[in-house]
Amino acid sequence: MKGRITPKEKSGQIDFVLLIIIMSIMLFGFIMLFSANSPEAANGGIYSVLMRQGLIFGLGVATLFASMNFDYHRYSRHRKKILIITVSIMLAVPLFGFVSHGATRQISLGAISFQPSEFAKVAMVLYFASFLSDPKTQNITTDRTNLFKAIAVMGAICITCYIQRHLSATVVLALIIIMMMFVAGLSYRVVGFGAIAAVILLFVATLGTGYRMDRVVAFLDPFKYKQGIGWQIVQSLLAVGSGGMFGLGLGQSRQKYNYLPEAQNDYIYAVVCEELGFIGGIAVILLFALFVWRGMSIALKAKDKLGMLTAFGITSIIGVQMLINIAVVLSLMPSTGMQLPLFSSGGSSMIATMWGMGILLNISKTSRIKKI
Amino acid sequence: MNKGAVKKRIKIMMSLFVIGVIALIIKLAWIQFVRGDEYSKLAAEQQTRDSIITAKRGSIYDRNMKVLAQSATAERVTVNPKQIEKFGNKEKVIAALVDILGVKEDFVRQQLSRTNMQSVVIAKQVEKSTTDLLREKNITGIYFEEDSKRYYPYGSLAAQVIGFTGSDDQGLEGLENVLDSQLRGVDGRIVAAKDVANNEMPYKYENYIEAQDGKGVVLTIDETIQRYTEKHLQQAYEENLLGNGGAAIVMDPNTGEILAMAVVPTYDLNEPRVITDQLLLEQLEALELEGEEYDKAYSAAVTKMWRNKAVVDSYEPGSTFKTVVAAAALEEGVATPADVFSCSGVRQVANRKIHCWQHAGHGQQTFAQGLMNSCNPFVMELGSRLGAANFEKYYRAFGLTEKTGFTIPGESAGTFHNKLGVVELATSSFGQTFTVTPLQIISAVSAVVNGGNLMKPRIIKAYTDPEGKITQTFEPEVVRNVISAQTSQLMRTMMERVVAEGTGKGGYVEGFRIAGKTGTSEKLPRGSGKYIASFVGVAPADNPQLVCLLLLDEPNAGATGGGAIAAPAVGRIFEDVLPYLGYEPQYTEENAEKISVTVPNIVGLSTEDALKKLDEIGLKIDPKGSGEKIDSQVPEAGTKLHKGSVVIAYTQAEEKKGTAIVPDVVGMNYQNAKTAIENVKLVLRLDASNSTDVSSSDYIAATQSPAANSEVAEGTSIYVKFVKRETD
Repeated sequence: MKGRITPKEKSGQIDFVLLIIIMSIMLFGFIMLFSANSPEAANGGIYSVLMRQGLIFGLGVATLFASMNFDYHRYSRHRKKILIITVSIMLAVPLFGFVSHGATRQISLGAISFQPSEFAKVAMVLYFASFLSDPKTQNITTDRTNLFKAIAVMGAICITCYIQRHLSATVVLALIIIMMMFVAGLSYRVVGFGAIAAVILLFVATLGTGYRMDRVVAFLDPFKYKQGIGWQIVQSLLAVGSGGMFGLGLGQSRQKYNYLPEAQNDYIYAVVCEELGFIGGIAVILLFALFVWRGMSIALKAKDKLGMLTAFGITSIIGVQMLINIAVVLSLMPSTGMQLPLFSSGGSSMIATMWGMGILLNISKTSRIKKI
Repeated sequence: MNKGAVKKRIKIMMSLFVIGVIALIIKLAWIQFVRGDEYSKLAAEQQTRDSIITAKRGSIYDRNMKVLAQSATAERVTVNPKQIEKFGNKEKVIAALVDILGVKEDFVRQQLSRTNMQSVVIAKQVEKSTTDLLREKNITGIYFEEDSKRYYPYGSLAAQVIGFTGSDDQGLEGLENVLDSQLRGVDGRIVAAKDVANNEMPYKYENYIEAQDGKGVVLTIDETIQRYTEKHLQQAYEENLLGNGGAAIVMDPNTGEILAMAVVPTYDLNEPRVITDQLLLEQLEALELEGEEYDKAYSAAVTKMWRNKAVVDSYEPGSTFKTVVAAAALEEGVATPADVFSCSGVRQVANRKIHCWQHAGHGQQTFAQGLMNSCNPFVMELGSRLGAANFEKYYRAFGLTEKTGFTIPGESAGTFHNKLGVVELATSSFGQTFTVTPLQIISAVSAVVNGGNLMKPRIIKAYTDPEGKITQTFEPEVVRNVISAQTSQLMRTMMERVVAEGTGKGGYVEGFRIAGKTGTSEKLPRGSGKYIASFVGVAPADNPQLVCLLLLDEPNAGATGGGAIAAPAVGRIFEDVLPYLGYEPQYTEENAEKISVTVPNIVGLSTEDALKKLDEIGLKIDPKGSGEKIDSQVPEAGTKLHKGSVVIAYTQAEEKKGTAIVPDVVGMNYQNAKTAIENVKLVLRLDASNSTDVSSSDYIAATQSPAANSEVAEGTSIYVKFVKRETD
């Protein structure tokens, strides 16, 4: 059976199951985002909120379809250009970017601004999938030169991100690249060594910055610092705890009235739990789990190694970000500033994510998974 | 690396992802189900703003519905330190609050430093006119809440009875305290959802519970009688330089209603923490204390002047108690009015010689004379004839061992001997070696003179709804019958002689029949030279409507006897109160002559000159109009009037008295007739043939002069004859 195309595999057709999952998450996210934004909307800005989110949603869908029809092999041929452009733009951020939320992470292009680190995640997945499947460079297990080359690229991109004071994106980037190298066959010994090195670096980065240390202290005993550094953790817990089984009803969140900082952003999941309860909270997790399952299935059944690694990397971006974001909301780890993909209100995050989704759907065309 | 190995590694990563998902779900369930109640409660606490709608505190009225205490809407000023910190207008807020409310800057700074709070109180009970000034400035972070403030229109009137409220409108002293639950009402509240900046959230989460305003309380106190009582008690207090204050009670003996209850030194209920009494201030100065010591003494004096001495402090009643012993002896039949008693100035009791206050002795005396003389051997004889068991029986029956159940906090019941030996029986007979409260004594004396029933003393006449409509009234309560009507009648006669001829002469009021009994007791330890002088008066003696007990604690101006200093004060109270209640003085020809004066002509004089002229001969003036010269007077010059009567002087032609149509009052009782006549600006005068008290409803008007419907000048006297109503 292997190698032959069965009717169910429908070669050349995208995976509609994945598309439906993606659309479901997008719709759910759009509704919740609108609900979380309603305090501002109620203050007279209802149309501007609707316009902005509608625009982002539309651009996202457009990006998805454009990306979906762009053969993923074509990226592989230009991986060096991708790397250079990514590093250049990332370096441009601290030089030309502007300050928001105490950090410089965005650069402005006339009327719109965007956050390059979001795109860098997808770009790096493309780069490393290509690097790790290229017959010339794929042997990182036995060829030290290639291993060091990979580590050097990873280090470079992480530093460009870290100097934007964007630790969470740096962590995600590093994690995704390490995961891809692991999947590509890196030995457990090297992965373990890398993990220890990463933990030490993380520790140093935390100790060296006051606000990061505060976040850890607050995480350990949020209620003690309720009025200060523990505020957002406490407010998040109160929001989630208020939800119960069925929640207060869609649009009925009370915590979104400025109790939850960034209710429409990093803490949108808390609003979901407050308004839709355990049912809604589980639904979000399961939708993402479903997406990860489908994405990984595409990876497992991908036509070539490049497709496998690319699909794995893209799926992982979503999975890892979801895990970290929700873990923060539920106070399973210190707060990081991680967004929930397709839910949080970032335009860059949405476009970058949809770009990745499109690539995933493009891979699904030739993947031998069962399609409907 | 082949694709198979890659797949294996992807599956490993998928397993890790599944572990992560499971961890999230467990934590989610933990937060929502295990900690859910706690977290949602905390959330609700921070999300709701609970605004209290203060229930309006009920008013306190006198028996004629004059308002003695009432609440007015005020406002409480609060700030939101959190918001002010964010907004950054702290200095502006401080300046405005200090400037307009007059609060201390340090205090405001301290309150504003509580930046984790969203509402702290800056000032309570601020008047609306003041908060409006603040409101006009429209400063972010300053808020206003409804509050209420208590006003006492009569200031110090019945201060120790009424008491006052605190800054939260809660009753602190007196009836304000005891009746707090009635007066307070039930606060309503608005529970509304609020966001972090204390603004309302735009969804339906509002709960409105209406406030129930407090009940009003109608007292048995009569504002006018209270005022007279306070005036004369105050005078006695100042004249006798009382070291420990004084008290007076006026009671209706037939109902037990307290018509007045006064305590000196007193204070203004609107400023309960300020001593205004000059004598008390002088006494404080005399202690020569400084700084903290002085403050301590000052606040102790403040607390003391809040005490209702008439109810809370017990004392040795002394000779006023002899009326109780005499009544018991007559009731038990161990003595009759015809019995003769002898007093040698001393009486041997067991192994002790007990002296009469008159060391020379009173010699042979009748029962009535014994009481008139307030003779100690005489009452010791009565006590001895009664025996310990009977003595104690009556002592208890007159309610002297029990609290009266009066509506004042801290009522005392006094102290009495556990075992009444011969010596204790003898000393107790003249009112020593035990203590009672003034309220207990006046209740007992009321029972002696009212026909024999011990009445429960009452100060609450009725409750009203918040609008002042009476909803519940209280009827007089007879505690028990103690002595017969005959014995009571005898006691009245004898007590009238105490005032007419005996130790109570000071309480005599020309034209009225007053009964009474004096009392003087030396405070413990004996020989301290500190006395309590008291007098209990009854009026009119033949048909008691008023009993007045007045006691002066530690007089320091020479005289210490109840007859000398307390009786005249009671007399003055009666002199004012009896006419107010419609009693006209009845003069015998002899004393009528003595006190009547002829009205001089004051027409053409200035008001000032007329006042002088009238004052010289003991008349008062009531000027009407705003002119300078008097152009007419009522009554006319040449009319005979009693001293103390009023001459009305009109100073302006336009306001000259008009004429009035005499109403027909035949068939009316005294009160109605008086009202009908006074309504048309005429004066009711009793026909000379009326010898007894006609104010009871048993009497009706039989004839009147001038006749009904005749036209007379305003101020003309209408003579009315009352006769006893025919009954079948």
